[in-house]
Amino acid sequence: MTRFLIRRLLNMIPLIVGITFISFLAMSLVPGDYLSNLKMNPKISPEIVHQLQAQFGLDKPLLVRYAKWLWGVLHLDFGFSLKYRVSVTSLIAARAFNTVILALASMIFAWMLAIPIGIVVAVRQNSIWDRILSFLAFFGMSIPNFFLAFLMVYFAMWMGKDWLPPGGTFSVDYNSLDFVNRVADRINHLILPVFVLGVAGMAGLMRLMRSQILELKNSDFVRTARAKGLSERVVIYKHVLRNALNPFITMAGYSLGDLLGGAALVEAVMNLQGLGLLLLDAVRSLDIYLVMGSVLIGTVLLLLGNLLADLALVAVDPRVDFSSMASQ
Amino acid sequence: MVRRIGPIACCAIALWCAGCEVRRPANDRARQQVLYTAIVSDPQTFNPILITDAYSSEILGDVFESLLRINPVTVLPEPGLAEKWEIAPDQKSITFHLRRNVRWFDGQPLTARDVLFTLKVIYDPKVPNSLRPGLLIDGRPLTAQALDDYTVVMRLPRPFAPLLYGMMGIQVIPAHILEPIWKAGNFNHAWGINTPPDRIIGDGAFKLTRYVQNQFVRLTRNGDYWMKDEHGGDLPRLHGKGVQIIPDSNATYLRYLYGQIDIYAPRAEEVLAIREKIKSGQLHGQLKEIGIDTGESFFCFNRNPRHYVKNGVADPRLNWFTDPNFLRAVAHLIDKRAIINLVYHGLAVPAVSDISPENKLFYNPNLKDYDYDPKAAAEIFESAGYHMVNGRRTDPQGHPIEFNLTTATGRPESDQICAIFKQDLENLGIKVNYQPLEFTTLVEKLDATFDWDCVLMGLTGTIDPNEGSNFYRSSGNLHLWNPDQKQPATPWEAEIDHLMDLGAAEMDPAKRVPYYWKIQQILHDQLAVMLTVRRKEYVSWTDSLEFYQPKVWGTYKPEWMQFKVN
Amino acid sequence: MSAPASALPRLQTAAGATLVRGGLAREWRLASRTVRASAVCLALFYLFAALSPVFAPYDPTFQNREMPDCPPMRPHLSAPSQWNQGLLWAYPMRMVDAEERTYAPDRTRRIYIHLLSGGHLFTTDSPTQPFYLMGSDGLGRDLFSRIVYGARVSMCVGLIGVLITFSLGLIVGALSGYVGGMTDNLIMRWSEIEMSLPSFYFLLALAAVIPPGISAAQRFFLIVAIMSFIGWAGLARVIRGMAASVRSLPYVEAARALGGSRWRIITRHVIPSVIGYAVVAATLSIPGFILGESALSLLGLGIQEPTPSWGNLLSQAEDPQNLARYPWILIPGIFIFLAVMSFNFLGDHLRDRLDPGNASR
Repeated sequence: MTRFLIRRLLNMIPLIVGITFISFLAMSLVPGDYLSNLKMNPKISPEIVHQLQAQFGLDKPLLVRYAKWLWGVLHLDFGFSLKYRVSVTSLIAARAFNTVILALASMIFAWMLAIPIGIVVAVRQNSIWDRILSFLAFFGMSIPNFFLAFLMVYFAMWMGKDWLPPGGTFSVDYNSLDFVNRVADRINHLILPVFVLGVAGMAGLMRLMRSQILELKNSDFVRTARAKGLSERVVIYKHVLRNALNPFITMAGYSLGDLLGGAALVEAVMNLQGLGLLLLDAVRSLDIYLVMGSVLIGTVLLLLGNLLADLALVAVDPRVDFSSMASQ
Repeated sequence: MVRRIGPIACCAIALWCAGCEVRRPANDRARQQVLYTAIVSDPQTFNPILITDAYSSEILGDVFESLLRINPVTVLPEPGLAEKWEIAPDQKSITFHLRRNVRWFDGQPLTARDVLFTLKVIYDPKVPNSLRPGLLIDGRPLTAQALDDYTVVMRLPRPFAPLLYGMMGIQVIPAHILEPIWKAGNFNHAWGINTPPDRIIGDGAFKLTRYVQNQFVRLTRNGDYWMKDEHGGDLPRLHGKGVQIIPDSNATYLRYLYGQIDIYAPRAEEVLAIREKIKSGQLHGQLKEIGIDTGESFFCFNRNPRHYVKNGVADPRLNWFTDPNFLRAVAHLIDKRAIINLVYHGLAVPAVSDISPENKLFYNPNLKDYDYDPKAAAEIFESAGYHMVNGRRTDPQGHPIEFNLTTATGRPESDQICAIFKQDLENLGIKVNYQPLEFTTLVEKLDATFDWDCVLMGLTGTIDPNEGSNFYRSSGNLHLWNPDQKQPATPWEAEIDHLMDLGAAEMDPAKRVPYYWKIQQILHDQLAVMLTVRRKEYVSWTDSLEFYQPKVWGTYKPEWMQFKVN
Repeated sequence: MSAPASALPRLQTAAGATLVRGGLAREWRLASRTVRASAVCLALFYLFAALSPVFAPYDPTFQNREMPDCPPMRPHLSAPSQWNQGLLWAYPMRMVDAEERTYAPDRTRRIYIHLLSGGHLFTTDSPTQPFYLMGSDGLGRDLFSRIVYGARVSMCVGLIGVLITFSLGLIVGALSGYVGGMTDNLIMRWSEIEMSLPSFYFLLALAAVIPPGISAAQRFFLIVAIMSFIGWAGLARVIRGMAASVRSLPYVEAARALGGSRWRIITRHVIPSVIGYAVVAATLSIPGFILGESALSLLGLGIQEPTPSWGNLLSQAEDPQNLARYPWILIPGIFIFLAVMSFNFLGDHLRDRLDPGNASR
């Protein structure tokens, strides 16, 4: 296992360098830099822009800038944002809290509903409930999340101000509230985004759960279990369910990578102060170190998530071992 | 158990949907006297010298003071830190008399030393700041001298009228705090936004008390502020300000409707909605038209030979874009009425002059607009040799007319204005390739590669036209159609340069007016920029706010604002 | 989906043959109602794209500057005596308040709608006396005409994108899986990099460097190419896994023993054995392209005004004011949704048909 781990971790290094370099390159293909934003201000002379460019090291060739950035990263210095003039780490950390809460909440929402519903419809395959819910699942999977966000904003505006807020992460007077009310305020602001983001995931998970159970229901070991005279309930919950959950473990690991910036459009429509919006804005205004920092963290999370998913799979599924993993 | 999951799930959803009731502390604005407003983006610095963005200046405007301030009603300078000022008869020196009762937040008095230090920092070539160009007269600095602790004389190499308006933008910084830092060479990193707010020592009406990135800036009243009201009462009357950072204007609007912020400048569609809501009693607030846009929005054609002349061969586009007939015809194709009605819901006026009518000092009211008239445009084209060939408008040399039109992405209004313009040109057989660009990309094209044909741009307005030197002068980098020229390319550009010199050298505002009227006339005749429309500006605020007098150039007597005390 | 099958005439697998042999009529009988509806829906949208000038009553860029944000109009059936004027008619809309943009039907007059006249499915005498089936946009352009023309972009983006990803992913994946070794390793490392790229932001950065001055069609192809470039890796990896397992199957080993060349084995044995999966994966990846295009256009980086696409038509809704006052501007979103859902249903159905062993998934 140690060998497997070391191998996988070593494998990550060229990947990370490759991804960050490609991102750096793509950002540099765009003409101009963040300071171009200043040039249309009649009060700012070109000399000042040049001075600032030199101050931020933007006047150096691409490879030098990349090497400097990489060197900084090795010393845990992720550079600083040209727009906000603070370190990238502090900026990302501040936003990550909101994003992680939102992502976790929508994940919990999706999982809590998807798994039980998936079981119910699988157990009663072809019943009216199965048909209706399967159709709804398609509906949920197909509705573009930005469109759903539009609809929710419209709905919230139509309902007026006594209902849920149509956007934002918290109210303006958030800081004057006590702890309990802060939590309540956050939850109020989370409900619609969580619904919007959770619907698609929920539909997908429900279908996966259903198909897993249907597949396993007729497999040999289940037949054996039934032959032993176990009740259908025990068969389903003890044997089928345990095995059906395997792919979910993998999925949980993979979705770690989506935590960062997975919902930029919804964040834009609903004005959520998350990482996606931060990154979107950074890409558009060429705030290069902020983009690079987010890409790096996103990549590391994705790769770590995959690794964790594989480890978890080995732990729960005796059929998988490290030798088969390593050859993948 | 299967059966139980259904109801449990339903209960969970129901609970979830019910949400949580937030118990707010009674929002008694009268008792708290805290004004909530919103800005679009985080400030970038708390150092007033290093400001390059609008948001830092909006926040620091309350924390630091300038020698002079502008009266937003008369658009004339009025006393700030300097209680009076005198211009010497030879117009080459200005004496400022400082108020004696101004104290920094740490109790130190504000003296001439602070003013001199501020100028010294601005002139320091190692400090990149946007104030220096405004204080250079023909490239030379002015000299300042303290006659005593409260009197400063500024000597100019020649009479230079824009200085008074320049002084309004220069916020004085405390020498006793920042001078050691500057001497140590760390001024560029002093008072960044990571600085604890109580270390920012200003002299304005409000102190910075808290800043949370991406969320809000909190300001608290400066109890020791020098200004008093008519009855000797303390100013400012508000106890504090909460400035929310809300990047999205739609969200800002919703928060205003929800009563979470007190003041909002609505866009055209929102004006209608707010008017309706006030009428129906859903919103307890005021809505006021305060004037029209002080800036300008225009189409501009590239006339830069550095882009169009390659190996001695000029691209036909350069010929079109410098042909007065072509430009005149195009000017008649801008359907300003459609722009006003379709894009701004009727809440705008046609823009005729480069300077906004709100600039009561320098606006030239005598210009005649190019009316929307496709027929006249077609006649001008025909008589100048631009004929229709196979459904395409072609120039006298037989090149079909086709050009790129661009603007910055992210503004739906720009998209619509360009779509209207494009349609009218295409009706006359001119092919237009419309392609909005990210702002940074667009700027690189305008400023460095010159690879563009026609652009829809907006520029902000200033009161003293000299602050727009970068735009008017042929050597300026914002002289969009042909920037950074060594020698003016055309006689009329040379004339504008000359008029700019004359206008700046005359101290009496009334005598400056003719020069700037002439500049507006030239730009109008030569069609260097083809103006579109100017929005009507509206402000809406909550009913309980009193003595709030918004104007297009700023708030009049902001210190008097307060919430109604019941 | 018989088109890709005929593009590979030597396709001899059981899965592929089911479709070809059975014929469309049999497929139709076997399909459920939802699948039939999806097929009809998609066929209609592709008809929109192919015959936009016929389906659209007006020029999609014609601006009726007197009638911005006009609500949808209700058609009425004419009395038989007036059928010579038009089978259907509607009340013309009159603007009541220019600032508020409120309209009221003018009940004193009628606009007759001519069916199959002037090369249009339905239209009126002149675009200045319009019949707005789905309302008009902020510049007075007929939303329905714009949606019909928008289908060209939004429906083709999926097909072309999938064609590129599909061929790239299939060839690279099959090659990688069958050849193995160093080639495999390199290709897989590269695909890992591509898969780990934050695709949406990457897309944004690349879209920003598309040069101006190119035609709308060229721009469209560049955007599709960028999206495909980002999207092929996932497909390639799965195909590779399947190809690697095919390699050790007896019949492939037999082919190798008989001296079949590598290329021949890949094209004759490896690709056909995985094509069933690939077809399903391709169908299910079309919605991704449609959504990608809408998202980019919504942000103003995709298809540019005045060329309509379902994504950029929605951008007017980004302003909640517009959303609240003119809710019909959300209609293009319904079209996106229908197209995506139809592809999902169809892909799901194809999976069941082509891969019976995996039917329940």
